[in-house]
Amino acid sequence: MADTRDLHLPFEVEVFYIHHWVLVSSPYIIMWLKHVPLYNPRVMYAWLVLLAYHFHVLLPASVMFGANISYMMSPPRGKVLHAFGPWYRFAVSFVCLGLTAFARHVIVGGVSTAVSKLHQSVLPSAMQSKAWIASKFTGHIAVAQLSTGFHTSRPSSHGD
Amino acid sequence: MFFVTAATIFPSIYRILQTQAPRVQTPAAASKPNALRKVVLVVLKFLYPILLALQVLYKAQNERLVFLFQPCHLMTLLLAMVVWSPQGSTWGGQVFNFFLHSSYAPWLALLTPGACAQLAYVCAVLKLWWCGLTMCGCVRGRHS
Repeated sequence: MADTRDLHLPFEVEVFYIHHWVLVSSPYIIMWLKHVPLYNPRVMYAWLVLLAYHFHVLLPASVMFGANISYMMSPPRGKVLHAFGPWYRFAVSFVCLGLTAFARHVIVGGVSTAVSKLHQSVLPSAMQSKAWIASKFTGHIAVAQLSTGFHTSRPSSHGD
Repeated sequence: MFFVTAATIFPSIYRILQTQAPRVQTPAAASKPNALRKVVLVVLKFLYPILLALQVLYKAQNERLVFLFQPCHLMTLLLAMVVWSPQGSTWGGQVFNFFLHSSYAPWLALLTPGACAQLAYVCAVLKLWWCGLTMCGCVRGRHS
């Protein structure tokens, strides 16, 4: 179960669960909305941003306010992380590197690949070849040629 | 560690902002958003700020506003930015791409630290299902 030991106010636990289930489901909902374009993975950069946020923002804030924000002061319950002693943050960091790659390439990428395969099986062959292209590189839906001025190829990094 | 991450984070952010990664999904401007998509988008536009405001109220009531720094609240803010961004916007797509990388974090918050207990619960439920199917005669049991 989630760590809800500090939640005592009325409906605080329910709001916690609703909030986190919304966060869990929102990648798929927003991808389905097609409100923003989907970009290629940048696993190391995203991991570094989160790492620096934890070590440069959360750890000083935890020390300053005496709060255990995102478990930066002491590990959560369980024997596994306590076995690492004071080095549990680095253990979690390197586990999170794998989780970042897994989240981007497998959870998100796998679902969108399955959706694109489904569309490929449903759509007529002419649309398969032109409109719906499953990108082999990322495994994401690449919807091309639906409008002018849109490209699925890699833009040149020198020109602009 | 402090200096190493400081030396890597700023080039990383610069690189993220400067690199025009190839987009692999069309923006909605290229396809036709149907009515359901529009309704869901409007719902999300108000759901994320409401959830964030509720968390702010709870934290203020507990006098623990510093816990708003937690990554889940940051992600809610990012998602609110994404759904309020204009359609097919570049920065919205890049913010959403960052969220996609860290989408494992709410799973961690939901499952840990009792992930083993959850697995044991799932196994118990599956075992009950299997016993029920065996008793109903749907599948052949080991001793029948």
